[in-house]
Amino acid sequence: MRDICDVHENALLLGAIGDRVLYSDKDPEHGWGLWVTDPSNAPQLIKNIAPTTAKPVGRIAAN
Amino acid sequence: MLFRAFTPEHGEELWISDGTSEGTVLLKDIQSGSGNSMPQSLRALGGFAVFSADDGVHGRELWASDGTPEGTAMVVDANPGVKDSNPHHYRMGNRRLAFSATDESHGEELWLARFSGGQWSAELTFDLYPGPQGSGATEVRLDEHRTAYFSAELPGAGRQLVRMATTTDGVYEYMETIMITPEGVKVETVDLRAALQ
Repeated sequence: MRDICDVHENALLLGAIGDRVLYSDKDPEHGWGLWVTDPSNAPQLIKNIAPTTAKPVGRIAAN
Repeated sequence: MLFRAFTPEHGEELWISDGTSEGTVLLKDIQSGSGNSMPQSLRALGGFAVFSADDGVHGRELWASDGTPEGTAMVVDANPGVKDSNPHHYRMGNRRLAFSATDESHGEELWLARFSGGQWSAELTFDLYPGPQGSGATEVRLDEHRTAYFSAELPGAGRQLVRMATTTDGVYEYMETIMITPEGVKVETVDLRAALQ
């Protein structure tokens, strides 16, 4: 299981649909992909695509 | 949720997701094949996603999407042909979409678009700074009384606050330049109906 805080340094936050948060992340197994997480489920890869219009997760967290 | 994403086969294009794997799909391959339409400046306005994109034929122009492939279309080729109009500063108000765009003849000016009968139409409002220099119209706001407020560079007057009013038919009635001077606020009115005749 990947911790939501354990994301790639260039991960991007797309936004939320209800309580599901969509973001881009890169891991050794899948490369870049679109991931989703919610309060009761571990992050899941939903598509092997590389979203490029979003805000860096790090910057959002800093705000 | 709309966003731009890269895949080797489609390039950087517009995608849509409902947060599920099956609900995450390429919305439209605007520049077909592996070319990049590179959707930029996505804004959610009045039930539409508004953005600029380059389809490889018309240059970077204003596009709008209702979230369906067939409802994703270029609003207007403001700078005809492959040249970019680089639309920006989108604002929606009173069922109209205002934006700044550049064409070769008029420079950067204010444009207004309407969505009616399932189709977009758009036109240049007025060539405020005549010729290709352009007024650099920006920071537009639309109110419920068919009036647009924006900032523009005017010949011999510098950058000023402008108020432009239209009738219900979209005909321009008058334009006011609202200048703040050391002596106070000075308003100059131009009758656009007369100026356009």
